[in-house]
Amino acid sequence: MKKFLKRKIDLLPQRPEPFVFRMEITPEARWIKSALNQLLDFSTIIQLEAIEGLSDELLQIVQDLDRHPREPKIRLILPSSQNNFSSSFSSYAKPLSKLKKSTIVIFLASISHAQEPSLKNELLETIKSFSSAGLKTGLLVELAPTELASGIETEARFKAQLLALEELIACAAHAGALEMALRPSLSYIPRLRPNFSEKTSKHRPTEATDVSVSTLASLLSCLLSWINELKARGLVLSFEECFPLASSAPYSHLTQGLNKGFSLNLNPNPEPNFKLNLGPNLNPNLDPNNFTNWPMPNCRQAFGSCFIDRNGLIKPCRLSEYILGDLKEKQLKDIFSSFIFSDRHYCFSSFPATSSSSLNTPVRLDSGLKPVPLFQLLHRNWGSTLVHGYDSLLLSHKGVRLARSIDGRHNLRWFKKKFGAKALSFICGLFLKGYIRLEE
Amino acid sequence: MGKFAPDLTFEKFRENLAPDDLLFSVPDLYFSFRPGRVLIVEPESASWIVLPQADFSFLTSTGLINPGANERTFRKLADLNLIAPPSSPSPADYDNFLRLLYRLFIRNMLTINGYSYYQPSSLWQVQKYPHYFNLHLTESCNLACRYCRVDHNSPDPMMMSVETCKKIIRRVLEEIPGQKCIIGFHGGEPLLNIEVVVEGSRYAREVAASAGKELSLSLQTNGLLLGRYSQLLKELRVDVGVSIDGPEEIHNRMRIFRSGRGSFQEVMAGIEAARKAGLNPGFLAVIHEPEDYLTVARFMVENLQAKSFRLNYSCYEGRAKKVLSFDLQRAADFAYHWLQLIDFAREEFMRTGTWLSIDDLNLFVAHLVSKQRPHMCYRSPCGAGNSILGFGHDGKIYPCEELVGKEEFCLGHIDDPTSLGRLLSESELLATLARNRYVDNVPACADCPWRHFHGAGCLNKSYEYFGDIAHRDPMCYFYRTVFEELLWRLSENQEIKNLISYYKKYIRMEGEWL
Repeated sequence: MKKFLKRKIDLLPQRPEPFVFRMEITPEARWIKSALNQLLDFSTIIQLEAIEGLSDELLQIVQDLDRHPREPKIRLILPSSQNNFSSSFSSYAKPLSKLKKSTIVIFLASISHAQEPSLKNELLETIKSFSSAGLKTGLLVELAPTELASGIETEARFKAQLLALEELIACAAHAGALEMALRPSLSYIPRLRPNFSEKTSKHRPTEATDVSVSTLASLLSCLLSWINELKARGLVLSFEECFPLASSAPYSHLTQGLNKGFSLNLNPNPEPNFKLNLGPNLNPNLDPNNFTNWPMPNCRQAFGSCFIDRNGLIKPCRLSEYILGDLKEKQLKDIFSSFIFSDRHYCFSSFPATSSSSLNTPVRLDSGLKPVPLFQLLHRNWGSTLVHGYDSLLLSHKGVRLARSIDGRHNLRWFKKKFGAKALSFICGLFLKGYIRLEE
Repeated sequence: MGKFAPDLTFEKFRENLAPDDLLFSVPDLYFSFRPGRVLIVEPESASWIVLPQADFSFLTSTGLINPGANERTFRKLADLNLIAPPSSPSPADYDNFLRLLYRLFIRNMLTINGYSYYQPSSLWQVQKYPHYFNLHLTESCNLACRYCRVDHNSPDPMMMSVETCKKIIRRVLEEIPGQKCIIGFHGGEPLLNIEVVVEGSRYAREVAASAGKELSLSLQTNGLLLGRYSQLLKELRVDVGVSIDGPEEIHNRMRIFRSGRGSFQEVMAGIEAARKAGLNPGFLAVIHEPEDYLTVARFMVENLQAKSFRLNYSCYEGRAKKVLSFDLQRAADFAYHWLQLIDFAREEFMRTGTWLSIDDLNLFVAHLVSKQRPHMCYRSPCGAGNSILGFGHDGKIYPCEELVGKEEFCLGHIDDPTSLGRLLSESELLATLARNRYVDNVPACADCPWRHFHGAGCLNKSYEYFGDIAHRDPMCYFYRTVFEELLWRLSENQEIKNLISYYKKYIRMEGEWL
């Protein structure tokens, strides 16, 4: 398989595409425009979270992005927590709906939107009105199970919340939302990590108490079985971010089939002692040893996506305490070139039909079938990448030649003759990962 | 397709299925649920199925249906048998299980050894050359409808000359390949240029006869001059369509004379005259207020005794941009009221025993029970330049009737020496339109589960609303909503498929589509 895939990425100056930047934006932050210009050189998907709601300035930023020749996909998250958010957003629905690349507008809600009828109705009306304007809409709900994890009947109270949430999600789907996701609230983390340093503990509730892992595991177990019940009814819910420590619960994105969100789990068997390889010019705030204490979710943080907070600090993930750099002080390319991550996250090991893959089951495909591409082949100065949705594969020179030949005209027999027998395994892997379909 | 050939019956499927066959799940399916049932849509091949909850849960437990997954998983049939409930299935249970697999397979929701039953790339069968030629005989009108694009105040009547009309007719009949040909007279009000209608119709019959082509002639009028010309149109064998927006109170809101007076009485008189002359006019209403759908449909049936009519919603064009409200809820409101037409048509069937033919309700049903896309506006790319050509009063050639007069879309002039066939096949503009209007190339349509049911929609509507041809239809939520609801209704009541009406002769209905 190494004939077709690049095994190592540590020679690469940048990350493979698609790179997702999730960015908090506020109208006051003057650094955003220059930051976005830098981001466009690195990313294919930009998710903007307008934490203080929409404004004319932010609309202008989104419109500029939409016109940019690099054509990034834009995802916009709007908070539903403000008073009368519906009326304050409605004037922006029309200009947003005219954008070409703004792929989705996601409304960020909390459990209170599921429990309070007035908030719920306002949210659903807004989703319906944005959908009617032709926008793709989504719902992202922040959950804080740790806030329940004390006192009596913790599990019962959590289940009641999930029931209310279930109704909200069903109504949102009916109102036109196409994407539903969950993420933990920021308060989730500090309560689990009482040993955080003071300077990074601004999100920690003052009355925070430790939550036992076993309590949390039982709550997360509730959450996962609830999600599976929804799935069995045709309601798809993904995680935008993991719930750390969820590995204590029987949890895996891949095995649960929840890999549609950003936190793609590329390896179903994460190794507990995962460690980042960090370059010599690393931000001094970052202590690589701390990563061993961090219960790493097996996702693409820093490798395939980064988070930029409202102050311009780049972190591997919104939930992460670690700062990779400050966009107000350094250029993105300098920040990125200062560290190189291990290829541990790279999907080679889990690529189907590779010798090291757990998915390495022989698959018999009829040699008369023709592969039809569902991917994009992107060429950069550091190499070529096959992109499908949020997933990507780094290709060798031979892999690029093979990918170019996938045009729906040649059958598998032809590929075997031209590229050798292993090409069929590679194409089979592409088929399983959804990069191609097969036609007669 | 090897052992799973087209027109695969269940018996053949069962016979050919081997225990070591690999069953692959299909990624990126769309799901919608209602109590006890789940609707699954496979966007690539525009296939769908509604399953009982129990069947759906069983399939998710096997991994053959994997909601939210963008990768394929696979199981060997022999392994699946072991987990199919009950654990030792009786022959009847096993038969039901295979039938479930069969239904999934022929809807492309299951791939067997890599085979998909339907090949998505053959979904859009685009014609190479147009067969419908729409001539704008004039850009003037004797009405001043509030929402129209025609400039009724223009001092120039902009009439097509007889010579230009004849040249267009001769060239399209002689130079564009194809056996069938429709020539439509439009405008403005085409009957204001009656000389061209008469001369053009007679000349078209002559040329078609000598070229050995089947010719149909049609004319779309506001009905005001039908009293004067119906007899003539009958003699010329021209099919007539009349624009009437509903009962008097609705019609007169928008379709007015320059004085501001409503034109309803005159239009009704024109329809009466047309019927007396032996014409059987078709009717087209433009709906401006969504709650008017049912009222207008009732008027068509009860007052005009129409069994077939078209209801279009008004578009963002011409004076409508200023007169009408294009608010955010528009698509949702229109969809809600449009869907009531289904119940109305069913009630009419119960009352009269005849199914109404309401455009585009009939067409959408056709899209759900067939892979064919009989109407050019809902193909991808749309029919502009490959199914239809528009001709301006001055002889300029455009890819579509709706684009006539927009210079940026002008393909050439009828006086140009290049043959029309070559003009079309070598046009860079047409190539660009075909590329940009292909739904998979429209960024805003990417990932939409309904993109291959509907296509990217109307080129002109995208252009007028967004100023960009590579954009979605501005009413895409309307289509998304009505397609989904129609699927549910079809699954509840199979007789709704009769709404397909005259499109039945253009499509091949899938054998087991429910």
